[in-house]
Amino acid sequence: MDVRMIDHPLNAVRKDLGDGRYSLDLQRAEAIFSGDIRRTKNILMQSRDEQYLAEWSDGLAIYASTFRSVKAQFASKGTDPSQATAFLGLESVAQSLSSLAKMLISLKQQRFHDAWVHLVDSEEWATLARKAGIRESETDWVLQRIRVHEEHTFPKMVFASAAFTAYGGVCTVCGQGFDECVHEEGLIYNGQMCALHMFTDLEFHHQAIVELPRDKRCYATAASHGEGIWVDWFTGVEQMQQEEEVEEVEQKNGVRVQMTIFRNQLPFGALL
Amino acid sequence: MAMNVSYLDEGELRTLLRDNSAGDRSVLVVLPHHISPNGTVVFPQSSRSLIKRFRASKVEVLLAAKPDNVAFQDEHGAEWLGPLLLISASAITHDPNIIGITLSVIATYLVDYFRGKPKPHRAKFGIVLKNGLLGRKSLKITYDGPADSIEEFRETVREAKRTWESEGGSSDGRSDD
Repeated sequence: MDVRMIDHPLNAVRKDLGDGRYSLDLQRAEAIFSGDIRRTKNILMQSRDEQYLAEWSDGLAIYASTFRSVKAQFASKGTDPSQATAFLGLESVAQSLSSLAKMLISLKQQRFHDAWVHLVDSEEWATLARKAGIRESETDWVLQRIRVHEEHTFPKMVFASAAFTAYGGVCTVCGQGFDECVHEEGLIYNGQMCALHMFTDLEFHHQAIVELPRDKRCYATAASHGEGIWVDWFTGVEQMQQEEEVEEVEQKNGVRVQMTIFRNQLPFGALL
Repeated sequence: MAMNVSYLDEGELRTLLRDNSAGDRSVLVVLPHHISPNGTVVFPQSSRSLIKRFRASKVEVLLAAKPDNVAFQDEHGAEWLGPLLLISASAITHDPNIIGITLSVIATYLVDYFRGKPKPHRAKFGIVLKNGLLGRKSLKITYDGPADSIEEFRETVREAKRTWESEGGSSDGRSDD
């Protein structure tokens, strides 16, 4: 099997500085990466061999970690924020494609929940790439492919949207109290997305079922109509419920749904 | 797209204005989403970044609450849930273009907020125009629609304000824009 990315082309243009840091000739790296992105369009197909996809995914992960390392170096110097943001864009493209490959691998292994999460990861990385200034033409095909999988590979999803009341919070960009700095949530500064974390307190307020959630990883995983059976949302495979669960559903005459309701995770790009 | 025009009486507005002095100042005031049972004044999470954008645009803005009694509610939906913004008669006197500037800042902010994100891009927020005279009702106009159609909302606000003024709602008859 010919998998060129095992002998990774980026090795030819990157210089190892130790401690996971690299220096990079940006123009040469971009040229090589662009070539591999073009090839990736024809590689990331469901019919491809699992091992072949895994090696592409690993190769893309090498791109991502190298770009991330160079981005962090530009960001720490602070002299050229646009360079740091440009490398965040390149890292995001590599991560998006790597996640798409992982999604295909998970489908082959019938790990559908993992496949869904990889699909959402891929979409969010592509979105971050656009925020970081990568041209839409470079990410359109990824997003189109994600849409196709979303609509045809997976069943119609039901999402959860949780509302929380937050006290305090710290800015990921500068580490100051969020209301004391100038950084706006969701915008990119010096190769890093601004987000809030380290709240003093977080209170659950309410839960809603929505069509358009902020985090598509919060979704219904199984449903039960009260016949003593849970039906997996992805596979349709039935599983017997516990006796006490059956009784409760029958008394309430409703549909029970198992959901992932909240994931305590910072958005991609929020930490260098 | 939904744009709704209604009126708030003094009592309703007083409930939202926890920091009573804020309502008559010549600045933009962010009104709370709700008051929690323990008295904490809860604002939409989005107001935190929007306030920064207003300040960067040289628009004076403050929260209608004392800073030590404030929390923020984050709804994990894909749409942007913005705040209800109060513009007093004295703010309009101070800067007759304040409504237009406010909407322009929000429109620009939304372009950045939704950049790169998959469509649809939806936004919800509102403004309240407060009369300077006691006993007069305030005008509340809310928006729920595409993030790139704020210009249409601006027209609705202009029309609603004109009607409100002709009915004696405005204290000084000045018009924005």
